[in-house]
Amino acid sequence: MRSNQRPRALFATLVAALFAVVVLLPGTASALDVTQSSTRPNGFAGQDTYGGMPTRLTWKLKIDQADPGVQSVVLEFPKGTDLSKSTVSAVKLTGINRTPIKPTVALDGSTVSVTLNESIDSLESINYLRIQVEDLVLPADGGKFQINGSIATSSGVVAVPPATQALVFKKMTLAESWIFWLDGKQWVVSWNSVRFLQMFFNPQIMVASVFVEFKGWMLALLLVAIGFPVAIPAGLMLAFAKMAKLRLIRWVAAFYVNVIRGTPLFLQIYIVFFGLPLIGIQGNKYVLGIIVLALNSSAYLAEIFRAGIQSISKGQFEAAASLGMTYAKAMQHIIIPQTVKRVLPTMTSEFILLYKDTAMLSAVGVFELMMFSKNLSANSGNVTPYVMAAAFYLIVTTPLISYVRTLEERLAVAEGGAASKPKKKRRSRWLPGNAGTDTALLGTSAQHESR
Amino acid sequence: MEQPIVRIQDLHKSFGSLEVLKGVDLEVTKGEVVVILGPSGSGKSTMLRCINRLEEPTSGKIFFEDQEITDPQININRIRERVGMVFQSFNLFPHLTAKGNVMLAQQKVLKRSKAEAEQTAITQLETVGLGDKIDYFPAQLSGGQQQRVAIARALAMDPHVMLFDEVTSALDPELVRGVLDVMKLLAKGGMTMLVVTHEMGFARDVADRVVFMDGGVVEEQGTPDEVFDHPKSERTKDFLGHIT
Ligand SMILES: Nc1ncnc2c1ncn2[C@@H]1O[C@H](COP(=O)(O)OP(=O)(O)OP(=O)(O)O)[C@@H](O)[C@H]1O
Ligand SMILES: [Mg+2]
Repeated sequence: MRSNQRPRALFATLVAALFAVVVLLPGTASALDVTQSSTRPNGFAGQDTYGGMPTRLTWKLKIDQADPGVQSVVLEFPKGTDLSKSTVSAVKLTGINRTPIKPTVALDGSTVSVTLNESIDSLESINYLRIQVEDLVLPADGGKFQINGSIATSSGVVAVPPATQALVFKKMTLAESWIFWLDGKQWVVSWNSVRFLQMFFNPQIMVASVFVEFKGWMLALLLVAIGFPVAIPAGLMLAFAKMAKLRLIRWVAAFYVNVIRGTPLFLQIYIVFFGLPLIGIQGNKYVLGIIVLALNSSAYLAEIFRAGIQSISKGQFEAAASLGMTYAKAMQHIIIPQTVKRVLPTMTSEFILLYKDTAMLSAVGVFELMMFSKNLSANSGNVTPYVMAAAFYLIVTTPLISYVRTLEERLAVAEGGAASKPKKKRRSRWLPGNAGTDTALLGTSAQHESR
Repeated sequence: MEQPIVRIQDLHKSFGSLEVLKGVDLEVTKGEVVVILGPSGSGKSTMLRCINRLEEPTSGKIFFEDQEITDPQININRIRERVGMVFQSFNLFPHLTAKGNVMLAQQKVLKRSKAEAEQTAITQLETVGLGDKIDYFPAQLSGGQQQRVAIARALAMDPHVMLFDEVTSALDPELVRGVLDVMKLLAKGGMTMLVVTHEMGFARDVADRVVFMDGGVVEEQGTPDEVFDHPKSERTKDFLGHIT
């Protein structure tokens, strides 16, 4: 892009200069002008220049015909700039011709002195002097600067004129400094030379993913950490509604549960995100996201709770009733506490599913884990961000999955019922009592898994 | 003659088209121990469960201390507080300890303070011989011990009547004794009891009256001697012949 612009810019300045020659020729005052002072972006996004990492400075001086010949240039960088690995080149530009100059260069702290072995003037045409400093490392803390210094001309020494824009360089983030560190390692280079490793397990992109996706991960956790607790009482109410005496209530609850369980979450997300605002329910997408997750999960939880309550033997209700307890008291003190124990494994599985389902919210622009990894992958053309997203999901799901297993085993032992061997479970289906109902519960959990 | 504490008049109960009770009449006086015998399916459990309305009678009347419990207006939970019941399958609350099982309804139904409920629980568990098991969970107890906890749980409510439905049938033979001993102790203490059982020895020793049910009606009743040694009904004879 820049290389396209340059000839045009040159042409414009050329025209302007010719005009100046014609009109202002005799006795024009010295007008050395810095027409470019820029650093090459060295960040990952390709936009910004960072301190603490090598970059290249390009500095271009316009030498007008009225100017005396330039003999040397001293450029002063901000304190703390590291020039120890720098190389300096100078080029004379005349029209579209470029003539490399072999200058004598002295690097001293943050100062570059370039002594041209010939003086550049512009008696015939306008000349530009371009100096490039390669591998210059600006201070890591970031900042803003104008290049100071001085120019020695045949008629004396003048200060370096300021460029129109100050140079901005940023402080490297932790991620960026780690990536920079990785960039320099030989093993990383060898690692990345294997195409599979480079595409799936790129160390630098891994680091970038960790930092970028962390926010999305937090959001996913937040969405489910609010949505799930909201779904629990809703699911419990639906479960009771499904067992209500009034047929209408039962019917409504069953309808809701069947619709939710019978349609994809993806569709529900679209309906809520595009539907609710249309009927005047505005909310930011996080609130909407939580609403969909809670609506969805409540239906699954309702089935889990209902199965759990119905798996409690009739004898428990009868014992409670025979002691004069009301239905509500029996529920509160006897049935629900036992149900909780029984449904905890299935509930945890449901939590795992819901947590994974937050990924679908990326389809409607919620910046959760999936969304961040999608963007990062698209920007980097690399699969590593997805691999890292998988890692983020697994951090939560792996311990929970083993927790579910522990709970299931503990429950099997506590109830003296079905052991964890599938063979026995199948047999117990045909036996009366708790063992059978447990199996029924596990059955729903298995069906549930495959949603 | 003392006023009966339980009075059943022409009790009928059908499950769908199956008529299980076909007009049961029975009176139990205070302090009496009535043992109910009869073949399987004769409706013993159903009759017992009608007394605290775990089953809704189809027709007929049941009075408990002069209150008609079959009256639809009555708050049945008030009656159930005073009618203890022990089930064949124990039905202990598995998430509570022995003590917790005995305390719960005292606190939630009788509104006793925690301290009082706890004191009562400990006393009752000691009565049934489980003073050393108060903090055990049901799963940690034998069937016989669980059944005794269930008895303690019912007793803690200070019931006026206790209903026992084949409470030893689910127990291993060696555990039956302990439970029967507790029931004998109760009987001696003057508790009014309706006991459905197949334990003929218990019936002979403890019962004030034996009721033989068959085909949904009371076929014959009398003292243990009358029913066991001089049964009038052919069916009773037949039944006792089969058992012994
Ligand atoms: N809830 C119910 N629904 C349908 N039928 C029932 C129900 N409860 C009991 N019955 C039937 O009523 C009849 C009497 O049952 P009940 O339990 O009262 O007999 P029982 O005398 O206690 O017998 P057992 O000695 O076997 O306990 C049986 O045929 C039984 O199948
Ligand atoms: Mg029975």
